[in-house]
Amino acid sequence: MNGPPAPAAGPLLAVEHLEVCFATAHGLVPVVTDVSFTVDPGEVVGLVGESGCGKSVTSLAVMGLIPDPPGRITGGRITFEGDELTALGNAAMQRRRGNRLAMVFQEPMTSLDPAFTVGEQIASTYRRHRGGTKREAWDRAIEMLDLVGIPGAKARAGDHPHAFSGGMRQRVVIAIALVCSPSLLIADEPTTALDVTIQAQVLDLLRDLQQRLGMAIVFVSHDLGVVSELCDRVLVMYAGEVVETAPARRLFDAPRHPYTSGLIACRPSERPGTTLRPIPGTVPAAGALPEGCHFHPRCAHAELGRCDTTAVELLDVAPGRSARCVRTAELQLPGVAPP
Amino acid sequence: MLVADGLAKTFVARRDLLGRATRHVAAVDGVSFTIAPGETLGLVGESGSGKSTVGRLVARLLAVDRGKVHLAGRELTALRGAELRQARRDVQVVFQDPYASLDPSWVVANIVTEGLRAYGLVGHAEREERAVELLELVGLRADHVRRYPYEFSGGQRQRVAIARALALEPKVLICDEAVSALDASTQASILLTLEELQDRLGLSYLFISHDLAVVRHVSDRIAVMYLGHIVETATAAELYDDPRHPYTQALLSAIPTLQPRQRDRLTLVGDLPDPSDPPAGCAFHTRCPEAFDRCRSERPELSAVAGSPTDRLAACHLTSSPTNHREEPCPEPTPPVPTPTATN
Amino acid sequence: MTATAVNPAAPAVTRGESPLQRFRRRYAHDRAAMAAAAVLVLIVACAVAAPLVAPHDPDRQLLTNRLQAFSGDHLLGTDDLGRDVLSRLLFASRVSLLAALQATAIGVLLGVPTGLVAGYVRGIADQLLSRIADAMMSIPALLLALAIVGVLEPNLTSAMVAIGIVYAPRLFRVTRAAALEIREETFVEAARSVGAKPWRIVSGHVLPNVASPLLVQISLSLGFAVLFEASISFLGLGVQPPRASWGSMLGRSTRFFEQSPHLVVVPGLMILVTVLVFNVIGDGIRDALGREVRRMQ
Repeated sequence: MNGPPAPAAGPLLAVEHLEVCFATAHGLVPVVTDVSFTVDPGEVVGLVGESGCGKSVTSLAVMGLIPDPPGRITGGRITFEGDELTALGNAAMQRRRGNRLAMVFQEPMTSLDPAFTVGEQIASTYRRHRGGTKREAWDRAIEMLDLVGIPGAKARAGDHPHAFSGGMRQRVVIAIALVCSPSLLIADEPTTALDVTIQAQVLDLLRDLQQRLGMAIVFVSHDLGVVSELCDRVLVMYAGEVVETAPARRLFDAPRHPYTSGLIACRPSERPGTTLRPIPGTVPAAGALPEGCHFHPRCAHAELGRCDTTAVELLDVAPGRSARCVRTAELQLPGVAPP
Repeated sequence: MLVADGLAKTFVARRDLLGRATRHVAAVDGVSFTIAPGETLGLVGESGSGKSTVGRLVARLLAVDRGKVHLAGRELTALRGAELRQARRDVQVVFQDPYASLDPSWVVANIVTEGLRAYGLVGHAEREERAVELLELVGLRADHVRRYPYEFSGGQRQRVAIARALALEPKVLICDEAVSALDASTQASILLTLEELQDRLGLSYLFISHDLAVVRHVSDRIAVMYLGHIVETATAAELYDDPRHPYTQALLSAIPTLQPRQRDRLTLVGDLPDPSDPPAGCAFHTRCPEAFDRCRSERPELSAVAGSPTDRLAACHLTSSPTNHREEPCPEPTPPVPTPTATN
Repeated sequence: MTATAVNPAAPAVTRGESPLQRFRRRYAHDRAAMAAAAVLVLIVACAVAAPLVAPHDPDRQLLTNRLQAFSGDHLLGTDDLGRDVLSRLLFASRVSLLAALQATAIGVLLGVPTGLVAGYVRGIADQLLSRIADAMMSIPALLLALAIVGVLEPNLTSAMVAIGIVYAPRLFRVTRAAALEIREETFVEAARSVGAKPWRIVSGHVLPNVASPLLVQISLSLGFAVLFEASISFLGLGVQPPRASWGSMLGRSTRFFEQSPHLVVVPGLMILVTVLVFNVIGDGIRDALGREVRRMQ
């Protein structure tokens, strides 16, 4: 597959009941369980959660990059542009990676090959999927560097990664990801390692590019604020499961899951001058998840008998919203304090 | 309590074949501030600002090239040898990485009492008792005392690090990005503990961080650093509500927030300049949206902000003259106009 | 303000093992390493129990019984002077192993403290010691050892000292490299900030964390020492008759190779097996101490 296919009806990406397990000394441990979501063409979806919640593993699963061994997709289905990715072999996935769907990682320092110039790295990706001459690929590389806002693109294309600062390198990484005009970009904590002013620049860039090129973005982050700046819809993950989904604004104003509410409450920037309210306890280890709702030991609203017995389903609570909580209809959970 | 005066530290960035230094980085260049007893001073900056270096200079983990540090009247920077060792007890540090700051081959009891043993303040028999006291102070349990670091989570390890720092009953605690490596909920929990401890023990904190939201929450006063200089100092509330230095304004507007955007986004253009070759004049002028001629040639001193009721300081040509030029940069100061309100 | 300092939901920390227990557990999983350890124990046991186990007096010569092949009475035959090979081998084990141990000890005593100083203190001491180590390592090992033995008298003690000195720079390098790395660790900086003196830091923090690569190196160097001592004694410059080591047994017997190859093969095999065992144990230690592979949770 070289050029973009004819637009298909239905979502661009559909993840259904995804399950990913890792082999450990204690057997096969599920790290992602029952994750389902869709991404429409041109939509920006946020995947938010703390470390160990499984958000990165989910994004790697979509890209087909789960290291095997020790990891494996053990259940569910991922459909992209009408094709079932989970059924494809490696060669077929490689034709799509960097071409139809692309990924940007957290560490700009290690994402680029120090031995090649940035121009070469962008051009080689282009040539692998689109063919063409070196000249064409090089021109395209310069075009991309311009697009991501690197001043003096023509000259800079001949520089090696070490000549760029962190923020610039991340722009180069974005350029490589977008060179074949993918319809889906997965960004895994792309700004976490950057200074806050540089982060603002890169977020502006992503927003701008998304509007111009119309690609869908899955934005993975632990930072609620960053996600709220960029995303249309947000999924909150905890202990390997999706616990809430909602449009971004609604999620923060009126969360329907206690974990989401807890995450909002412990952010210092939302409540200047008031007390922080941390979520007591710690995230359970993947092999030692609690009975019933995975969050109940830490939940201020947990009820014995209801929350600690059976596994909780992710249910719709409103159009476009779902939550994995048996008490969601009864609870009035605080969101972002009004300014 | 703590007075830093004109601190400066230069590192060698590159040497030639014969070992002579060819490039220098002035990581810290003329930094001064004070911390009152029981107060928290937040030190904010991005990478390359020099804030971590300032922390190490104050803790005397690095030697100053220039400048002095006074603690409770005594000049720390003049001390050597045994006297310096004794003075170390008063300034302790909590480091950033909870996975690297604890020796993996030591049990927690020994980690926490390391300082006490180094000064001969605790005998072998009382060691465990003191360790339990310290652990309980920071919210851990007595039965954690004989565990190894790898058995704890990041947040718990950071508590161990705090307990270690408090063992010597310091007057000043330097928190060098102490919560930056932690998850949001753990961060909140550690910040609460730090606040409690400050109230209980009357400590002064130098809270170093790149995260302005956290710093604002924790600090009484804040100093903002850029490329080795302090560019603005104010109380936390003032800085947040009415930042005067363009860099502070940009920093604040860059914080991602869940609330609908209240501040105009002031996005900086370009990258941090090469620290070994800083710009002439004001170090920030290359990225400043309000730079004018004077900024390119003359470095602004950290001086009182004109028209401010409290003693705010800023290093900016716009604030040091009696007029506020925010809307219209011009090379000559115009006749004084009333101080405008903040643009919120 | 949340009053309690104790986090009510702080989970009970799982009962963990000390680094030593973890090492033992991981080592036990490694079959090759366990087998090698078993063989080593056997060899050492035989050596220690030689006076009890040896069937004959190792020095008793019976010239009528020379160069016998394997038999019921002499399981490994007799040598050119009619002495029982098995008994000689057992007693030679004591010599070879003890020599290896003592030589390595000398190497450790010379190389490790200097390595710690060079790696942690740095400066002039580091420059000086490193240059000396470089100079020593630039001379081929056997040549250097022979030179040292030549200066002292040719006997077992000189051989041990020579091997120790030859091996010291290698241990110095390993220790220094590890010390250089450890001193940059945050917990060392933290130790300084709580007022620990350099000596405390080196003995308490640097040394235990240096122990891992050092243990591996020591195991390998024991094997190396066995081989080295064999070489020196083979040339007649090490252990002096009537005492024997594996190397000297081998050296004396090369002339008789055509008639009685077992006189060469048996001690040679002992050297081979012992060195192999030390190397496999060294690998096993390295694997058992190795850094945990980070597992995604």
